[in-house]
Formats: sequence, C-alpha cells, structure tokens
Amino acid sequence: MNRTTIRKTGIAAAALICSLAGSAHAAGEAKNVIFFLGDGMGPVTVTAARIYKGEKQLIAQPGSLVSPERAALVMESLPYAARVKTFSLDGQTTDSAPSMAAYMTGVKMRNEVISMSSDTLAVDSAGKQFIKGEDTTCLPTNGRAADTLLELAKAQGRSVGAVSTTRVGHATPATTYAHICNRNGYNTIAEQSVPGHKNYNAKLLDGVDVLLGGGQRNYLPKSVNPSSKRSDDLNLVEAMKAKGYAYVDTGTKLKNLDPASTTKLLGLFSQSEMAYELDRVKQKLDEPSLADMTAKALAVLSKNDKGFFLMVEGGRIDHALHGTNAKRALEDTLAFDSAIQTGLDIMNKKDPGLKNTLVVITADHDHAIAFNGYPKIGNPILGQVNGYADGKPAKAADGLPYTTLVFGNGGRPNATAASQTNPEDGNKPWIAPARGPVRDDQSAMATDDDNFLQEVGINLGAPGAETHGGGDVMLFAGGAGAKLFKGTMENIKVFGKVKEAAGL
Amino acid sequence: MNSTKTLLVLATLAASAVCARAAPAADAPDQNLRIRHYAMSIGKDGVQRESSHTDLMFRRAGMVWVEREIPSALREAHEHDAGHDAVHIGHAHADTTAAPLWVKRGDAGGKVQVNMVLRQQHKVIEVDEANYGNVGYGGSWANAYWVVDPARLEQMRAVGAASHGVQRYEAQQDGRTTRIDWDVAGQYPRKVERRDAHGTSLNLLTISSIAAPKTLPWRPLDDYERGDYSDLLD
Repeated sequence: MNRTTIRKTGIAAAALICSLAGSAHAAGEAKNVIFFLGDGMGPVTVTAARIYKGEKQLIAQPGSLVSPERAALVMESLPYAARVKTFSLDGQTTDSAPSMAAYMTGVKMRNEVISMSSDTLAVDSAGKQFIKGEDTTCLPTNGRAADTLLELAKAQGRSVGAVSTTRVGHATPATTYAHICNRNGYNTIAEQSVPGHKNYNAKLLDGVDVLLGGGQRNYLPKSVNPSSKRSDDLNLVEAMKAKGYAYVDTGTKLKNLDPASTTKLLGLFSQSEMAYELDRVKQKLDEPSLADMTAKALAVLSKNDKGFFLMVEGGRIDHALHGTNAKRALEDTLAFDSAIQTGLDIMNKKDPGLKNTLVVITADHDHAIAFNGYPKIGNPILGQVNGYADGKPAKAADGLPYTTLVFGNGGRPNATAASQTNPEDGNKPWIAPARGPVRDDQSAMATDDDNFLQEVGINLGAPGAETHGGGDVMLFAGGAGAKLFKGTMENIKVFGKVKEAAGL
Repeated sequence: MNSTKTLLVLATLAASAVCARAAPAADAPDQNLRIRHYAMSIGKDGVQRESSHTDLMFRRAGMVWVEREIPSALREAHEHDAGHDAVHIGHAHADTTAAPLWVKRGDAGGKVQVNMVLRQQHKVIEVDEANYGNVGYGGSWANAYWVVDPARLEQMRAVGAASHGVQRYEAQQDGRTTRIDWDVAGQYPRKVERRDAHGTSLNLLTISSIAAPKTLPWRPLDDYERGDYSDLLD
C-alpha cells in the first residue's frame, strides 16, 4: 500500500474505533451538569432517610406502601450507580475540603485544602493553621491552584453556579470556585468570588453566575453588619452589585426575583449557615429551601444555550450528624432529595429525557452513624429497636432498651439532668440520654423528638464531636453520559468522568 | 441583697412556714455551689456500673455559670499536656470537652443566651437553639438556674415540715421515687435523688455551698473573641 492508502486506512480504522468507542463512552453529550452533593450523606443516612420518608408517606396515604422500607428516594430513580472511596492524601477519614475537591479537580490533596495541588499544606510544621481570624496566611509558594469543573465549564462559555445550605464559602461550595491552602480562610474565599477584588479568581472570568447560601458575615463589613468576620471595611455585596449582580437576602426576595432579567445572582440568607430544614419550617423562617434555591439557580443558568454547571449541596446533613441529632439529619436529607426532584422536574421539561444534561448525586464522605439491632419490619426509624420476633423492646446487657440509630462516637452531653427538662419559654427540651457507663432508661423518652440526641459508642466529650466515617459512599447518575458512572472508584476518578461526559 | 430581694426571701420563708412551697422569684439568691453527680445501675448482666463527676455552679442575677471541676489527679496530667501541641479532635481544632457553659437571661421572661467558653482559644461561642443539646443546655432556663424547676416541686408531695431550712419533696412515677431536699432560703436543691423500687438504679445529685472564687470566671471574658457554634464544626 502506498502512504496515502495507509493513511486513509489508518484514519478509517481510527474512525471506526472512535465510533465504537463513542457507543461505550459518552464524550461531550452533557452541556448541562448538575452535581448534587449530600454532605456526610453516607449509606446508613440514605437508608434511614428512605424509611423516614416511607413513614411520612404512610401517614399521608395509609396503605400506599407495604412498609416504610419500601419507599423510594428520588435519588434512587437514577439508573446508574457507583461506589466511591473517599480517603484524602493524608486522612483515612477525610474532611469535606479534599473530598469535594477530589470530585471537582481530580487531584488528591490533604485534609482542609481547597482545590490545590497535592503538595499543598494546610498547616505549618508546628501544626498551626495558615489562617489569621478568617483571612488566609497561605504562602504563595505553598501549592498551586487545581482547575475545577466549574472553571472548565466557564472557560467553555457555560453559565456556572453553586448553591448550599451552608455558607457559600464553606468547604464544599468553595471547592467549585476557590483555591486556598486552608478552608477556614472564609474571608479570602469570599474575596475570590468577587470580580474586581485583588484576590479575585481570574479563572471565573466574569464571575460565578449564581451563588446562593449563607455567609453574610464574610461579605458584609462590621459597619453594616455587627456580626461580620471581616478584618477590613470592604462591602463585598456592594462590590458584586456594582458588577451587575442581583442581591437577595431572604426567601421572599428570592421567590420574587425575576430570572428573565437576572444574569448574575448572589443570595446570602444568613450570617453563617442557613437553618436546618426542620427549624426553617417550624419557625417559619424567611429562608429559601434547598429546592427553592435549586429552582431559581436553574432558571437563571439554563438561559445559556451553551449549557451550565451547577453544584447543589445539602450541606447541613453533616452538621446534624456531627451533633448526633439524627432527626435533623434525616429531615435535611429529605430536603436534599426534594431539591433533586425539583432539579429533575425542571430539566426534564427543558431537556426531555435529559439528553444534554448529566445529573450526578453523591456524598463527600460518610459519618459514624450506625443502623443497629434487629428491629421488626416497619419499626419507626427514630424509635427504639423492637425485635422482629416478638415486637418487644430489645435490651442491652444492662437491661435497658436502645434506639435503632446510634452513633459510633460523639460528644457532650453527659448529664442525665438534660433529659429531665420541662419545656419553657417555647423552647423544646433537649432529650439527651446520659453518655457514660451508666445508661439512661429510654423507655419513656420520645426518641423521635426533634431534639433527641442518640447514644454514642465512644464518648468524645466535645460538642459536635461526632466524626466523619471512612466508609465508601454511593453515587447515583442519570442523563447524558451517566453510563460512565459504574463500579467502584476512587473519588478523584469522578472528576474525569464528569469532564468527559460534559466535554470539558 | 437589695430590699426587693430581701422582701422576696422573707415572703418565701413566710410562705414556706405555711404551705412549704417555694415561690419561684424572678431572681434567686446568688449561689456558689459544688454539684456532685452520681449514677449507679445494676444491669441484667449482674454488672454494677457507676459514674460520678462534679460541677461547679455560680448563680448570679440573670445568669448561671456551670463548669466541670477537674479532679486533682487529672489537673496534674492536664498541666503536663498543656505544654504539648493542642489536641486535634478529627480536624476541628478546639478542645472543648467540658468547656464551661454560661447561660444568661436579661430580664425574667427575657430571651435566654447560651454561651460556651473556650479558655485556651480565648473565645466565647454563642450557641443557637438548634445546638443547645450539644453543649449540654437542656432548653429549660428554670432547670439551669434552679437546678430543679421550682414549678416541679409544686407537683410533688411535701414530706413533713421544713427542717433547718430544708423542705423535702417526694413523688412516685413508673416505679421510681424522686426525692428532693430543697433549700428554701437558698433556692436550690441540697439533694436530688431518683431511685427505682428494686435498688438497681440510682441517680443522685448532692449539692453544697462553697466560697465564691477569688476571680469570678466571667470577668476575664470581656476581651475574648466572639464566635458561634459553626466555628466548632468542619
């Protein structure tokens, strides 16, 4: 064969291979990506939330399920699933910074590092963090920024956004748009989102198009906000408004915002974290739900014909678990699931069959929550274990009952007195069985109360001390390019799959 | 004590002579107390379990401060550790185990403010309602301020008359007996005991009055940084 023929044959062969590969892989189908992240939402939390949803369903529609275990979360409706290993560079058990950054950048980094290279250090040789107050003291020689999926999407002319129930500068959302050696530099992270600020992340081009969550205290100075954590007098909200951002700070204002006339949107609804869903509803707070924020974000971002990248985080599932308050964790998980429903409903209308939209749902890490005992089918998930054989309360070695959901570890409280409160001032009592060698008798306790704190195995003593877990987490995927997500993978591999599916 | 408080105390004493009920005043007398907690249970496995710890409680008008009294053996161990690097709990950087709880309420019926004091970090953490349980505040101002809500005493049976300024109350529920020895003038319980009928379960609070500390622990806090509960989480 002459050279031309060889070349033509080669090209034809390559084209054949490419087309065959095109059917197995899904390069570039998804111009739209929605990445849903349930912070700390490990397998037990998902299972418990499903049963909890089933219980609510059976109250609303008796007989609609054989038992609550048969309920289905929206996240389960996605056709592809994978398991993800979550260890960081230096932690068998990770924190939210390197774990979410792994998804966003494909780089394995140390605990507390936000979207930087593997050599980046979060603390100095004496173990001191590179922060002063909430400002960074990271040295310019300490690591390099690692490109994020959000930045790659922006470079392609797509619209980008991050939505969370935590501060917008909290680790998970921060990994999408910021780069910093230590996650606690909340002021600096805020500055990186502000076009025109000297610390602005230039890779964001004209700016993150939608940023919704909490965190007023890092954007507003003390002169207008006494709770400010800023060390200067800069008003980052005004700076962003000057660059064309619409700004809202209540649920009502977000609801009334017209997406048709909004190109850039900043919404900060609380000083730091937003309220737990349970409290948002019961106290009728004027904060948007995660579903509300998702809907408005999609309305703004989907106007871009080139597509969009949106990260939506159920950020406080993690916080409730840290507090060993399973009920708030489950309520926040259901709120997260509602946001997924909202996202799917909206995108199925705009993009029927999600032909151009990839939806990924996962968690950054697990927690120490455990689903224990042999409870009878249909047993209330927040209740005590009633044995499957006789339906009677199962008893521990000390002869006292125990709840299905317990935590491997956790913190204060330890005094029995806390469980004997009388409600007063409209405050509901906190029911916290003693944590120590002498257990309380929970027979008469309302373990399904909003403010019930489950028992723990290892008493760590400090408030909110329940730790993350090192176990694998699940990932669900649907829509364009979803078939890439299967099997068991290290968290850094998720980045490459999203990148490939989205053609970034 | 000012004249209003004196009148209230006298009225209470008079009332107690007649019907032995403690009238919950808006402000109870200042107190410096040592509270010994003791819990015991005998499980169905035949193992007797016991746990005890001691708190110090300082009550002033509109506020109560509760902190763990560290046993001397541990105090020496603490001093040794203090020279080393700070303990990391996971990656949260504050060692807040047994950090003092400082609960304030401006006027009677006013909003309760719950704070946790991190001495090593020189920080006062303002705790919001959603996190009360996690710092050990049960949600009841009365239970924090009086140790036992005086309103609860009204639901119990007074046992005899007050003796040496102490009135005993008793109640039975679900096979358990609760006994409270209430210091009428001081407005705090000298003893709170809860035991079951078989002697397999006992919870006991023993409270004694102590001298006021030389430096009231909330005095040095004026220059402490203010934080909130989210500072403790990742």
